[in-house]
Amino acid sequence: MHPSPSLRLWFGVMVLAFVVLWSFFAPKKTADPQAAAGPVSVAPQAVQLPAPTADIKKLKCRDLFQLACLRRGITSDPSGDVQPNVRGEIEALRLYEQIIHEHPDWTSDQVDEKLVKNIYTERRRKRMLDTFQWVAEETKRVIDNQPATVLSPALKAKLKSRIDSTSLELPPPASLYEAEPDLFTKNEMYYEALESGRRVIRVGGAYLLTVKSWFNRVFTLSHELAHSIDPCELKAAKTEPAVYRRLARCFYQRHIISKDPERLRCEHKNQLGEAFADWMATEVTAAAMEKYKEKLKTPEDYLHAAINSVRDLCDQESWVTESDADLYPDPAIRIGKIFAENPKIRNLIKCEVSTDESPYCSF
Amino acid sequence: MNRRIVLFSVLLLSGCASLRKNDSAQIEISYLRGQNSHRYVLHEDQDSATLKAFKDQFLMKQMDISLDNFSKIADDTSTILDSLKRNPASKELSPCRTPFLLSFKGRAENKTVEGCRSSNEGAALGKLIKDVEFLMASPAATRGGTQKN
Repeated sequence: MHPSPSLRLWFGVMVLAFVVLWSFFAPKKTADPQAAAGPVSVAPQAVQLPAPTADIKKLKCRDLFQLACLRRGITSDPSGDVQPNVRGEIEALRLYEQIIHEHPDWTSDQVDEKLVKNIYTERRRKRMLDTFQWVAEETKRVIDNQPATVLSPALKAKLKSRIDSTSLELPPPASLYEAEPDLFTKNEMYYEALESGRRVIRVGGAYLLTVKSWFNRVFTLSHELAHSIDPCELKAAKTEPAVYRRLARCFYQRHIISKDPERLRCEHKNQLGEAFADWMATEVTAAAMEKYKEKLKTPEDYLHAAINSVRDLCDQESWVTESDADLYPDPAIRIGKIFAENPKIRNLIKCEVSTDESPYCSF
Repeated sequence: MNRRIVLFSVLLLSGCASLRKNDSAQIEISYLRGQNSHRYVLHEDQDSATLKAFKDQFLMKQMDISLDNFSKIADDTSTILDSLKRNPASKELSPCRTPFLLSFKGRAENKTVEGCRSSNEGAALGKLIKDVEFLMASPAATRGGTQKN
């Protein structure tokens, strides 16, 4: 026996009404992490700001920081995208938990070894190592392109030698990061001159899961590599070239760094090293966009490549225990003043080069 | 007479309770690496212990842990703090990009040490953080005595 058409219609209306009512009155899930009981993973709530209402074409030239950081969703460029920092960390932590769950009798060293094999795959390692090699060559080219009156041959040789002796360390084995075993599940990449005298760049496992954009890898790796020749590292090596002093003064005059480098240079928590690394990374990233020109077909491709280069700077956090100036300049300065005001970047994203009283800093 | 005994018992118990309350302890590990700050806070109260992990201002994970597990971390923290007090984890020559802060308050301890993770002495902190993260991911965290290393 089949129900009559009117009965079926009546039934359909009732189902529809139920769905509508349920969507209004269903209990809402709480996102309050404090309210959660027991072991819980809490994904931070991304702040969803309204999309910029101003014309993007104008905004990209006026305020790239706002465009990059207050943008909704993920930006894709032709080489890939950059996921929010925290997403990679949650994925890495889940992998870590899964390994422990599957092998409850394993020691933490065994768990780390398995985690490293799962995250630092041959493909991901190659991607990083290839980019690093390109970045190192391009950084040396930037140095070589300076006139001898700006960087003497001897200084050029010294800078290039420091670049050549900086290595990108990628596990496996997990023991490579013996002093930093927590890095496997983190998003960060960092440069460090070790007490043994070695200069290394290390990469968190979550970064490999988060970043697919070549432009972000270029900017981030060249930022870290630039630390090997930044004014504070050179000062520690008893070298203070006059050209670096002029550059530092320019950063200060343009309000990129907050402390007068003539009075306070490279003391604890100085922003000079970070500003220099951003400045050099911007030069290298501009060269990367030039190199990738064939695949950047539209103005949007250029804009998205630029945004992805610096997208992860938006999430920068200040050091919680320090009351004095932060180690890094503010993201608005890093993106807005150092990256977006670089004349090559402005040309690439089709913006007029600023005719400001104080020109963009250069060697 | 009975009233006096009851009153005395109540005062004694409340005194003991406040004494226990004063016995609460907290371990805090904070560090900066790259451009991110990380913080682990382990707190022990009268009969419970919790572990919270923060990245920047976000609470990434919050969980109960057993008192045994808290004690193990507390012992290791105390050892590292003593060692770092004797041999500070500082870098003289090049800038530090991995500053950390380790503190232990309670259980008759009140110690705080700052340093640099990439110094030879600062490497000890890596092992402590690894133990905390292993505990955080381990299903045995709320039970005592099964943490391995």
